Amino acid sequence: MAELVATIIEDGPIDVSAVADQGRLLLDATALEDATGWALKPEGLCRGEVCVPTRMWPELFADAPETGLVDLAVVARLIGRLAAVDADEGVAVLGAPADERGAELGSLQAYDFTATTVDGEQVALADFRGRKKLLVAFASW
Amino acid sequence: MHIELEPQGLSIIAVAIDEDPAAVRPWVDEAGATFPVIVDRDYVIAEHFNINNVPTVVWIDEDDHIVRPNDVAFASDLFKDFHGIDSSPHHDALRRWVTDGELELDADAVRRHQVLPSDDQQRARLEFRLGVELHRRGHTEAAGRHFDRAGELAPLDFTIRRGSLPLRGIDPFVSDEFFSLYGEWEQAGGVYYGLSETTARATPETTDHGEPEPD
Repeated sequence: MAELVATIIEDGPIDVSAVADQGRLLLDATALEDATGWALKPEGLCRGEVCVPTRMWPELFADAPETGLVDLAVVARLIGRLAAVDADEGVAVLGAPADERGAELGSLQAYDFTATTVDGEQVALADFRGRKKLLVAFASW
Repeated sequence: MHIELEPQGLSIIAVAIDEDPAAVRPWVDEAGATFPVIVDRDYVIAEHFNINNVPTVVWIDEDDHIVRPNDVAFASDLFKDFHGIDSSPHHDALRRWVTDGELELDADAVRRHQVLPSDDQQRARLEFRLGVELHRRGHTEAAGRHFDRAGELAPLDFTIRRGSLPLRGIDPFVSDEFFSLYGEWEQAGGVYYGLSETTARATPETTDHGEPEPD
């Protein structure tokens, strides 16, 4: 077991205290809520009005519930996120599963991004409302 | 093209699927870009639009609806011998949409032609972003492990496999790694996206790199 500061990336990077243990990244309840917005409560993992029961997921708790540490990879499954975790490096990335992204694409509503240009300016899709847009993806490689 | 159609209501938004804005700059200067060029360093736009190769174009209307899904389209015929795709049908279709509002696909057809991601594709993007984060920290070896894992999960995704080559110090144009990727992609049918029924995709031609592709 090694204590470290871990970076959890979803919409943006958030640094929290964590423990790396045999490939697992373990967080206490405070760190978990800071990183994901999900709180560990007696009824389960909760965010707003939504709670996901954890009773059937003993592997959520790294070793035993009394340690107060949960395995981030198991949390991700419970809250419907996919995860890539490098526990020793203290970095994890959470993101949408395919069905969620597929539904977004199938809605035909274009993702309303805000992004940074090569000149360092902020630009959003919404800036071009009322005009036709040609989104052209390219690369230097 | 931008200059011609801009007064008629078309805006071009370019998105470089790249880590380093300095690597993008020569392309911007060469194109004399008067439109915004986003550098999608965190692969957010690539992920939301399920972009897995470049160049990729998407048409988005006045109300931000996707009216033509991901497709390959080139700005010029400069590399036509390499990819066998003619740029002019796309330009013609684009002009008809901008000037006359004419669309070849209705909403159902757009959905049928969309290529949707798999969970492995989504996992590959997360592994790739993890690799990018470790690359930024200078943890090259650990980054390489996650780029490898991403490539295993999405073996035909150029934004992941080819896009990771510069981050690993490997030439993305002339290297065993790129030729190997290209060979695998060609072996798998050389598929870009699924718009073969529309006029905007040219008839496949024999290229220097193999036989004509089945339509």
